[in-house]
Amino acid sequence: MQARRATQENDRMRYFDIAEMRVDEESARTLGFKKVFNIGGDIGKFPGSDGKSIAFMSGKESFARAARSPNVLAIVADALPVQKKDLELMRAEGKLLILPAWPLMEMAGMQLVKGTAQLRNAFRIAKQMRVKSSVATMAKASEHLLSSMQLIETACMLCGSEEEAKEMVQRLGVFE
Amino acid sequence: MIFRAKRRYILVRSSAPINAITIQYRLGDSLLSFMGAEEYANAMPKVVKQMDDNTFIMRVNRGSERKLVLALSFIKNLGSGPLGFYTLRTSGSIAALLRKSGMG
Repeated sequence: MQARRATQENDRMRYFDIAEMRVDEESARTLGFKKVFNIGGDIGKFPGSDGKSIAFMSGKESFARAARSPNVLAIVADALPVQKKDLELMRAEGKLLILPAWPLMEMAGMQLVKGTAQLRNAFRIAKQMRVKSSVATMAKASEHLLSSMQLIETACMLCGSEEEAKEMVQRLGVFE
Repeated sequence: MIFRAKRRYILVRSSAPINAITIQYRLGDSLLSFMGAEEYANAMPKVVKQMDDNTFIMRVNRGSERKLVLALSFIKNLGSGPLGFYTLRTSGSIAALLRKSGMG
């Protein structure tokens, strides 16, 4: 029993999230994350950052330039559907694809059904193209934040497997 | 022979203060619209204890706790402004839940 609890506690401390707002360490631990990275603080936004950075598919800078930049570790799929040629480039450059969760939280009814289908499709194509993917809240306000338990369930809704969902949430540790 | 339903208790925190009546009725309606009648009937979620203005404990039938956790992620408004619900822990009893979360 104690070994199982220790394993659960270790698992909890390997989960990460990314948000567009600052989340202090205590709040991050309460939510079940080892750290919640802040865009603009812990992680830079491409272009305009020399350290570890993140790019957005909807960004004005060319996707190819972002994908080839050594500082960019991940690209956020905020402009769906994702293109296979973009994913091929990401695979070649070893970039991580991040599926943002907060747009889903704003939807309801049929719009939510469509949004979920789009993200599921994006995950499926990424898996087919052998691109590693992850899920992050990309929260802009405190009501968009999720606990690690909720983020894993959201990832499970997209990928269908609990093990894969946990791996997806752990992959954000690349920014550590 | 007595058949007792097996339950799970979930510790939930909200991003803004919320009162017990709002939780009980409006949250129930929101969960029903997200989960659907069948899932809601399987889960039968209920708020059993309010710890403080932001924290409360929900009870759900065992096997449906994951659905409830997912449903709470998608509820962002109960009519009184933007709101977020964070599920912190689950346990088989209220005492164990409070002990694990350091509130007992």
